[in-house]
Amino acid sequence: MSDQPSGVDGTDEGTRLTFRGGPAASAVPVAFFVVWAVVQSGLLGIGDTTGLVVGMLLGLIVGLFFVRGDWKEYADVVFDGMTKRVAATAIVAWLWAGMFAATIQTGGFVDGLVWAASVVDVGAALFPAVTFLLAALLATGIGTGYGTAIAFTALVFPAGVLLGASPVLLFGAILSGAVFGDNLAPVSDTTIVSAVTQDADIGGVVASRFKYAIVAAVLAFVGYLVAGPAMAGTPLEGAAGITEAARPLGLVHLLSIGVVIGTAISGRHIVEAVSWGLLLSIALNLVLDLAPAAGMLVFRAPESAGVARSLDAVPLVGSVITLVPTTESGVGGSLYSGAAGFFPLIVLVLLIVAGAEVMQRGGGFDAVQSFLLERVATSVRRAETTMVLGTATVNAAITINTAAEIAIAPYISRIGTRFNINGYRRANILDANTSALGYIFPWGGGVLAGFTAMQGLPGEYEWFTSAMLVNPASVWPFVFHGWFLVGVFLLAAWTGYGREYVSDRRSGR
Amino acid sequence: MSLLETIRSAVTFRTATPGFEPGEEFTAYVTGTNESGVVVRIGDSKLHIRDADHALLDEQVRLRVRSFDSASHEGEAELLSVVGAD
Repeated sequence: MSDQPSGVDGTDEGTRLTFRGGPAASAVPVAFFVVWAVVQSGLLGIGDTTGLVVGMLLGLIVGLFFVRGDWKEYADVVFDGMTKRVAATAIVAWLWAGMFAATIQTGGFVDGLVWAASVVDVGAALFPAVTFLLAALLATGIGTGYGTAIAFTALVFPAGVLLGASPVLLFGAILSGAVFGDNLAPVSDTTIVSAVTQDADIGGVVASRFKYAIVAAVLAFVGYLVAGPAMAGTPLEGAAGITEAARPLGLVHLLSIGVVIGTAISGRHIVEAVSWGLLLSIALNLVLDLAPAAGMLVFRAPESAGVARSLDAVPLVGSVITLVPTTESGVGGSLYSGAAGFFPLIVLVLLIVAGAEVMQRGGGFDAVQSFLLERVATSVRRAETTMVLGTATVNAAITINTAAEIAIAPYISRIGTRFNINGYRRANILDANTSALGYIFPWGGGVLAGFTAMQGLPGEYEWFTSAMLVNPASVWPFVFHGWFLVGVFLLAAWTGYGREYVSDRRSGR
Repeated sequence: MSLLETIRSAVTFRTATPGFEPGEEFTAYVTGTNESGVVVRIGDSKLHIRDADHALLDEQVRLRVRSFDSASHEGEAELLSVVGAD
């Protein structure tokens, strides 16, 4: 008998490309990008997504010179890749989730969490453990680990340092919470991509991954409870300053988050789920005076525009129009910034999918896949182990975890379906390691996002010295939830914990 | 299936070699071909569908189990319908 793979991810149709140097050369665009990503963010420490876009663009150009025959066919394949539904679906969801996340942050949700931590009088020893829980809660609600890392490092991190908590452990706890939410949230980009690429519905994926996430989270929480007292120092003077300013009312956005999670898990489309949550969060911000209308949407019109001056005086309409000098004109607010924040990532993902399509049509995908299926993944345990380690390795190399997830997703689908592993299980393996590794290594996008926010603290607080900054290279051992999540999946691959086959139940979008 | 039931049903330690009962019907992917037909590999267990078209490779099919040997983890099944590819 021969379990020979045929086709590529079920898509044999379309132009086949031939490369100088054989099928392996079709991997040149993606390989060029991986090397670029490692050098840019790993070696040089630059967490600039647009810089990665340039790397992928140049990779696609370099790939041209390896093509045999008409370059037009290569260009057509690039177009085919960029118009794949998988990328479009994720992009739509990011834009919605981005608007929602920014809007509840504008409404003071993080402020509410800080207030909650202050009223229960959490000390230095407990602060990292509590921070982990709160960051996990925020990330699960807003679906963006990067946003959580930035918000918590800017707001909660200085409070913990003031209280005497270990900065490196605290930063690790924040990143752990980001991992938890990125992995579990229905509105998380990685959750969406993992479900879409493995042909599974988002609600079912979230419900089925809870059992892995909670095991890792309990172990991580215990880890912070043990390490917190052992690594705690003495409180700095003025610790009360930050927490006193925090207000509880932002916690009302737990309602908005509940609406999104509940609607998504009940099987409604993610765009619908987030739209309801977004509308509720806007209403709560306005009714409870958590944020002005201009905080969510503002037209900064040039003072020279006569129409703008007239509209500025009109009730309601005028509340979202501000007259500014011509050089400062533009649109702003949480709806704008929440969506715009994803623009570079959207372009990057489109290009990476194009690079993956080139590799697919050039036979590079077949070669890797055949090797894995025939030599490595020869049993279901080894297949799942390969899926776990494969996603971990790619994510260790590519800094933007969603982009890495899209690159590896076809392999996970192919290897998994060869053993009839259920789409829910495949999506869970794919997402967990993607979420975890993106927040562990110093060049990971999540680590760099948090570190970028931390670098602003010495300028913001007089007492915060540069010696209190955490070197991104030192935090990796303390991202407990990330490590435990990878461990849980390695154990699950070998013990069969949570394993489901296609024959057990259908997963569908 | 309620959310609670979904979670409960998924918290399992599944074997690498699932067993099947004659008459059992379900959907799965065709994962390989051989001289006499196609093979549906579920974990490390295999169900053979004789005289099936090799073009079914990678397609999702509805099948009925005819026999299954729990010692060798292999069995025979019949094709009921083609559900389609992913």
